[in-house]
Amino acid sequence: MISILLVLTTGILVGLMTVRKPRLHRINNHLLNWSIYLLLFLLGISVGTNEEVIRSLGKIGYEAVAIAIGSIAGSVLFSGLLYRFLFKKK
Amino acid sequence: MKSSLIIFAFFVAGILAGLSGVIPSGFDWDKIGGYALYILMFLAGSSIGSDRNSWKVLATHNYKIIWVPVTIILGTMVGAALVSLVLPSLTLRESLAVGAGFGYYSLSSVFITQLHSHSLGVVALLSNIFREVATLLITPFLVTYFGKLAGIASGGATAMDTTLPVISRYSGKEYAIVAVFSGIVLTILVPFLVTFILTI
Repeated sequence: MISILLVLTTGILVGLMTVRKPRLHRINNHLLNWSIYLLLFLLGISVGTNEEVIRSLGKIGYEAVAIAIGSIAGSVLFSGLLYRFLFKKK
Repeated sequence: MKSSLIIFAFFVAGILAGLSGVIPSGFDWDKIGGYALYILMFLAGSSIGSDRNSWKVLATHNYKIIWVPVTIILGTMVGAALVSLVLPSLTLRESLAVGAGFGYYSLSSVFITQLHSHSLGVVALLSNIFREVATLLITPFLVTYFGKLAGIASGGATAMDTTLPVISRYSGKEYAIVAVFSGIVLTILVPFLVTFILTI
């Protein structure tokens, strides 16, 4: 998976070199949106054709909600401590 | 919010297309998805790199602000780890990988699908969409009880765009800058962290 991170880093560098080209950014953002749509559509197809995933969709949804709640609760509690000790104006 | 609805609609359309049997059986998602992922990574990278704000915010703020994303990463990882203890069907690694999406559902779900499995990719998609939607709904409550960083923490990577308006509204404009900074750092880290968690 190093190759993926290399592609990402190359992208960041190309972005840095084209900071002064706003038209390119607009095109890039359009392409980015559509490639995300395409990938999620493809992911949907692979889910729809995968009987095992379809059968366990209930379990998947349940796990998804549990992880989201855990992540939100953990980060919010930690940020509460940080706020009290470093940000709050006394 | 609107964009997550569009993305979700594409995902559901894909499921329906898959279920209906119109997709030829030789369809190799992993191969096509793999190439598409490279394109997505390149585009995402250049969009981050070319955004002047990404670098300006970094340069003009004092050290305190660095602790915000660090704290959010630690809190998220602890929270997700606890979930894997409660739900035996999830391993620690799986739970951490999904949590490391920080609300950035599009990228994290595609990544996890490629690196791990389709079913965990779907968990990542739903879980991170849920994180974004929940942040939009409960930020006023969170800010009241847990301080002005709470909405930024809950929003994770989305604090720089989709959940920024609600954060700015309830924590104040001066925290909007903190939100953008934290969101950018988390957004950049998502692909690195997810890869790291799933491949170590």
